[in-house]
Amino acid sequence: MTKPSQADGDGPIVFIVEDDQPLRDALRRLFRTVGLRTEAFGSAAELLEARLPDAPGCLILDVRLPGVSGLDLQGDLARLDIRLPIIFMTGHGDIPMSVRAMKAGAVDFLAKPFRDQDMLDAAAAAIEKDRARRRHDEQLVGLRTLFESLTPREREVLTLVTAGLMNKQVAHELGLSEITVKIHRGSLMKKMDAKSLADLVKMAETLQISRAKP
Amino acid sequence: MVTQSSSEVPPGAWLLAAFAGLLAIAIFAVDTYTPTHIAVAVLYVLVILLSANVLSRGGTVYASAGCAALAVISYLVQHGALTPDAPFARLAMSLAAIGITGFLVFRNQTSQMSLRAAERELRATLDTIPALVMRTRPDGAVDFMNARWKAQGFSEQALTSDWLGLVHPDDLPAISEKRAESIASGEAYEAEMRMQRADGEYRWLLSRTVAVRDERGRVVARYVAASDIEDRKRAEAALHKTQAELTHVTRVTTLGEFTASIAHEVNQPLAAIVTNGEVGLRLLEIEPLDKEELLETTREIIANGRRASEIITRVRALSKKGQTRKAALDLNEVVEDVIPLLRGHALEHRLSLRLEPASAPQPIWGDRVELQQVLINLIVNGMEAMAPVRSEIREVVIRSRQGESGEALVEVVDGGAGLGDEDTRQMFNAFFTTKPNGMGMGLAICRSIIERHGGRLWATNNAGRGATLQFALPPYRGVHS
Repeated sequence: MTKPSQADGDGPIVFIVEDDQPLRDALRRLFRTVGLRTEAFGSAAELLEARLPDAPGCLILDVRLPGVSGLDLQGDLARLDIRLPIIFMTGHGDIPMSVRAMKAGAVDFLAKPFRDQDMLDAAAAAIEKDRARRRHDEQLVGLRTLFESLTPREREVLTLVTAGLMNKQVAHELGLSEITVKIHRGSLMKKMDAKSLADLVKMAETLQISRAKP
Repeated sequence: MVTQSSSEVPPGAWLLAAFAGLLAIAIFAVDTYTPTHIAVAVLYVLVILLSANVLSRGGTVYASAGCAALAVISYLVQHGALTPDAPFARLAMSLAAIGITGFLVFRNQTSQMSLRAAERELRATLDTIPALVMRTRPDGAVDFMNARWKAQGFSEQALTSDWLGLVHPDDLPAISEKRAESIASGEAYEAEMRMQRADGEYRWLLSRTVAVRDERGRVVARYVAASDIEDRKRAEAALHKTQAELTHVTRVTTLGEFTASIAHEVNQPLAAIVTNGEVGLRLLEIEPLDKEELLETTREIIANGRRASEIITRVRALSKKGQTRKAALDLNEVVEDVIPLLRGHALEHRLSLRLEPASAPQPIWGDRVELQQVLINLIVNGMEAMAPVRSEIREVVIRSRQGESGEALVEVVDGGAGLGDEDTRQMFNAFFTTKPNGMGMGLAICRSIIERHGGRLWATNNAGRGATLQFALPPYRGVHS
């Protein structure tokens, strides 16, 4: 059995929303055997009222819930920009429902009763996905800060360079001398902490910077 | 007694008549051949009186005339001619006595005749009415019955000797109870009972008994008029059976509509069992063994197994076919029992069910399965009424409470669109439905079930939004009343 490292204070958390208490408890127990923290709720409203800790995790969600259904909650969370990967559980394999859930970004759809390993694998994969997303988000925040430290001219140069233009072309486009472009380029590479042009292109992609088509 | 035809002459009367004849001869002999100074001829009065029972009115006239003639003959034989002396006075007195007696007997016979005629008429009347009539004495013995009893195959002897012995033993307690009540209240009572015919077959009779009292209020006789209601009873039984079958069919149909949600309801505990079982296996592989957790997990498996089995038992009870079986029930429990079966269905409609049970138990006398069927129908009806409505409070409230006059009430309150005039008027009629696939039997059957329980079912619009369907059942107070 693989126990995820608990070294980091904010170890992953499995959120569970299931109105049936015995099943909710059973799920908590299951995740406890692999050392995963859980936070369980009886309804969508309870989850929405709770303050969710800032840690990687995933959400195990029952499709049928009293009041707001699991599918509705999925929509609500998306609107609130809570991007926890969701694993749906359902009492009866309902294909249209699962299609809807998967389209809306669910990572998995398990029919009750599920195999424990399926649930654990799904949760592990979902947590991994959340970790990756969080890493990506952190990176993005860093890059954005760096990008914001650039002068407007440098930003222009970056946009054109990462679009594949040669220095000469950039100079022509911006009405500058090639030397000036080179200076700006060197400065922005340094500011962005880019080792190579390829590195810079990747950053531009992450920041979703693209040259506006004339 | 009246049971015998009164136009017949009792056997002893003929002896008396013969004695009267001999007496007449003896009186004539004494009167004619013995010189007495008393009015022997007066004794002819005895002859007339003795023969009164045997003779008709005409006979009495002839006998009186004969006696008078004998007295006159005796006088003529002894005294020759009519002279106004003492013997003549005695003759006159005797003749007067004979005449008066003859007249009185004649009059008595006349009134007896009209009495007999009236009695014959009464008998004929009683024999004509299409009912079994009898009269009993205060001790219960039958002293009169009409001809219908015999015509309908009852044994007159058996009735006369012990009519209560012919009543079906199961029906006796109810009769004696009613009889006691009627003695106390002084009112007539009606009873349904089975009575055995001469051929051994029991027939259902509906009897009405009226007591006749004397001036001091003592019961001197009871008149019983009964009619054969066997056919009605059979029709009732057949109707009841048909109703029970229809009720069962609609119940099963309703259950069929819930298959998915019932499956969900069973699946929940199964999922808990499977997951807990797997947790158990995992716990066994972890060192050191967490015994406490393993115990708890195992207990959960058992509890959820029970839960699944309870749900199945409930569904089975609802789908079971059989005669309705009434028992003392707590209406609160009946309500609580159906909630788990409907929870899944409620979730599908994105509704919640809120139960507000009465604080005290609500004892009633009824059939659990049928009442649950009613509740399921009413709750599903409420949920479906809310399906097209967008409202914030999406719940159906099931409230049980005690009514003002002690009746047990259950209200199913929805927040739907409410009822139109047409709905309120027709909703309980068979085949009335507002649903595209509905048969329109649900509420009609609900109403007949509730009415069979001596209660009523009705619907009202709420002050705010939606409607309330509710039923009231009479409270049960230990003994069946």
